[in-house]
Amino acid sequence: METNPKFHEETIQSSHLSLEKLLGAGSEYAFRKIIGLYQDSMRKYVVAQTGNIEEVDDIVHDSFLSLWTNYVLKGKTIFNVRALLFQIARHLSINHIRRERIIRIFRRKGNDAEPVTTPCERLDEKEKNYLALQIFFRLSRKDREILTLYYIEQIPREEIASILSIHFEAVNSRLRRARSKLKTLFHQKWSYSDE
Amino acid sequence: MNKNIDDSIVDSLMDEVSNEIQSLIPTQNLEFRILRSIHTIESKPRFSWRTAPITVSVSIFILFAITIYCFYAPQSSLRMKIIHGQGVIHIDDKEQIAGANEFKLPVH
Repeated sequence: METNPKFHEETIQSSHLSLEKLLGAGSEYAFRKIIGLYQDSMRKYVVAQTGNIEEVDDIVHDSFLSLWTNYVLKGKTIFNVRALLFQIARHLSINHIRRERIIRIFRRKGNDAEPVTTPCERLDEKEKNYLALQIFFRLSRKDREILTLYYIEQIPREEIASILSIHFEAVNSRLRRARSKLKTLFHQKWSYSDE
Repeated sequence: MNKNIDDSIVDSLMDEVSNEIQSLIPTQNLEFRILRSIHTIESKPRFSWRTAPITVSVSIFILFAITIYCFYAPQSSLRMKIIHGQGVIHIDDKEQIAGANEFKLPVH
């Protein structure tokens, strides 16, 4: 951790080093800049994954913390900080979904008085007016993930492949499938609302 | 033509999804919270495998020194406590030493 961030800020502004290299050198200024750049897109991605608005900040916070403790402090080389952040957020979101699923199973077994609802169902109840989100959350997590990365975050397909740890061709086919499912759901919704 | 319309449906739908998510998510800056957490983590002493051998050898040496002191230091109160506590005969007792000497080396 630097003792004089102002000095470091000037050094960085005058240098031509990438954020990844500066972060690899343990620069707190670069880290702060990365938080400012990616926190909103990370929030969108996590909400699209989990459907949980209450805990989105916790997951994003843990993702940045994991980047600092597991990569920056250990001096690991970072090639693409955005891809790495989305990878970490993806794993944390999947863990969150699994944890919620386990809690639901235990509640069902214990005949808990509290009603059992998925995050998507909660979102639907809470936000009846958000029609596009209602259609979007009918998709599976994998479909939502690929559509969020491609359409909302506008990440190139090569980078999506590295985030999801899949082949480039698999990205294309997954994207095609998700798009056609979304179109079908949209037409269904449209026909229901017409009736 | 139909394909283009379908693609534009997906594009506009995803734009709408992005706007709706944006209106739902919290807007406060997370920077302060994250930086506070990393400072808290760094202020805590961490175990390191690099310094582990030194830590272990220093600990063993200190334990060894304490043991030596307890058993061999003259008139050590700690020694008295340990020996009595374990039910061992106190070898510093002058009478017993004298008795042992008499037993081992009888006077002719």
